[in-house]
Amino acid sequence: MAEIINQNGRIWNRNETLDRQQIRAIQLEKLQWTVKHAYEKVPYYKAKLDSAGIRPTDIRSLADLEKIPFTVKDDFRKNYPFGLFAVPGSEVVRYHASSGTTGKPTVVGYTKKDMAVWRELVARIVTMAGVCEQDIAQIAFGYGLFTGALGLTHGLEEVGAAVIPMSSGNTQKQIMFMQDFGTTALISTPSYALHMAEIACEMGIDPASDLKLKWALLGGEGSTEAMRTEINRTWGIFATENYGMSELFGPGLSGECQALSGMHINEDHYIAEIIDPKTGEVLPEGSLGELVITPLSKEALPVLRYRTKDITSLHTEICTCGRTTARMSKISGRSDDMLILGGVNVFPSQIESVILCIEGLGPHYQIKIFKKGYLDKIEVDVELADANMLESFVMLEQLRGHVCNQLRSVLGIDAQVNLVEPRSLTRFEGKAKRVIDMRGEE
Amino acid sequence: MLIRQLSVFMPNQKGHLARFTGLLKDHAIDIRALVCFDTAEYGILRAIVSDPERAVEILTEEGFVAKISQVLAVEPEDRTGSLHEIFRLIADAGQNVDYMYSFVPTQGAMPYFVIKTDDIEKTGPLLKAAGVKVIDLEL
Repeated sequence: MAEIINQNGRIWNRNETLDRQQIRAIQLEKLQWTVKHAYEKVPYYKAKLDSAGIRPTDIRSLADLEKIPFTVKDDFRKNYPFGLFAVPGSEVVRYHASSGTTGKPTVVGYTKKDMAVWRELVARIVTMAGVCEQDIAQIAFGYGLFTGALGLTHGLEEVGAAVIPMSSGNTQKQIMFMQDFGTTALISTPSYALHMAEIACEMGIDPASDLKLKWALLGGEGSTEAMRTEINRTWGIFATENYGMSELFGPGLSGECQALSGMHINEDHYIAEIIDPKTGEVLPEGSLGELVITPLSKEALPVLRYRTKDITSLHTEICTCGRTTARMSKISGRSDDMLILGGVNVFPSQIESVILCIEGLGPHYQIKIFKKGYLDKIEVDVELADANMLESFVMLEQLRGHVCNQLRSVLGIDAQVNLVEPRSLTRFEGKAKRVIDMRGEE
Repeated sequence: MLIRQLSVFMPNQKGHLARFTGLLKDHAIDIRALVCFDTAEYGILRAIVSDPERAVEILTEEGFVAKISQVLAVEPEDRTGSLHEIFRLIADAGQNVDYMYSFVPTQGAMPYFVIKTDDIEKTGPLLKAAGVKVIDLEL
């Protein structure tokens, strides 16, 4: 049950309403534990802190956080699979992973206690979004190694909502379940929510009047205000966004409340900082910069000052919902070249390494991304290098099919692959511009 | 027994075929036969030309993907059923035809049929033994 119910809605946990002083006291105590835990149990962190000349006892105030070196995604790759784990495998009850290059994903793990914390964090997010025990929630994220679908499942069950684990795709069936089960909350990416509404209309169903949906929890990719307005209008719902990533538990880091004034960060479990992505310098409150997160409760996989590469700003003015936790604004970009394609995170370098491993292709490629309806469409142009493929058209088509399959199995993206002539793709002298993202253009 | 045919990767773009024919013209290479079918994004052009080695060289220099393929050319008799005999023989030998086309080598002559099978080394002897006229000449 929600601990606070007021005229502005429900608040799952009292810790969301502590005054700033109390929040900071909790953060310091847990930060000291986290640093000690990482230092003592993970040799990689010990080496990193030692070379920075920091011992866990040096963390005496929250200001000392700045002294700790950053952790980046590459640290996970270097320590694949379990090098950053702080507990023996016997204490791990769950693994998740995000896509990586040719078999080297980012692996994360959870202890029993971690799972309880994660559940609690997501419960707060779904409560903020308006969902309670009366709701029937349909999860249209892909289940599997990604944290999105299962994370939301746990949190929704925690608040007592009924979960329909639909997974992504099979849109007509999704609509049928919404109709027959009386789904009241939709969990999906913003673009899939819009796509589903279109399909519903094609089926002769008006999503706003023929279905019982009240809420949408959007995640997995960013969205514009225009998209949210469109989702609210077509579905006749109240849509909120939430944010998280597998290295930091998954969903549950932050989410929007009904006041829609930014995403509330669960600050008793995370410390958020904003840095200048170029210098690494911590920026004052309100500045736009890269979000750096230190989770404070992770047992299996402690993480210190994780560079999310997401660009946002932090705000602590009191929110009308009654929560006192800091809020992060909508993600306005990335400080690296990561692409979010239909909710799947992909780096151009990952596409490159898939292509380089395939015989018969040249090393150059170009990625074009555009919207077809509301869905992301990806086209990858690759250069045919091996004339032996011309023995038969079947060989050419097999080559193309192989590229498609590799992109799907390694990165989880569905791309249309085009074979082009060698040297026909633009060559770059400096930094290659291999990605043409036309999604923002009408 | 096999003859050398040019195979060229051909993206389905305006002007691409003209680029190919222009290059061959500029290098005084004669085109004896040319086929290219309607496919979606790209296809493979097949041609019998006067100097296939030189053609591959200049095409590759200009950014084309080109190679020489070994194919079989036959001259079927001018009577009903002669083509059927050829394809029946190929089928009965368990071979698959990858592609085929016909062209007239010189004005007024009987057409040649170019055949590419998945076991091309064996197709020639097979047809020859059955009395089919297999073209041995360098074109």
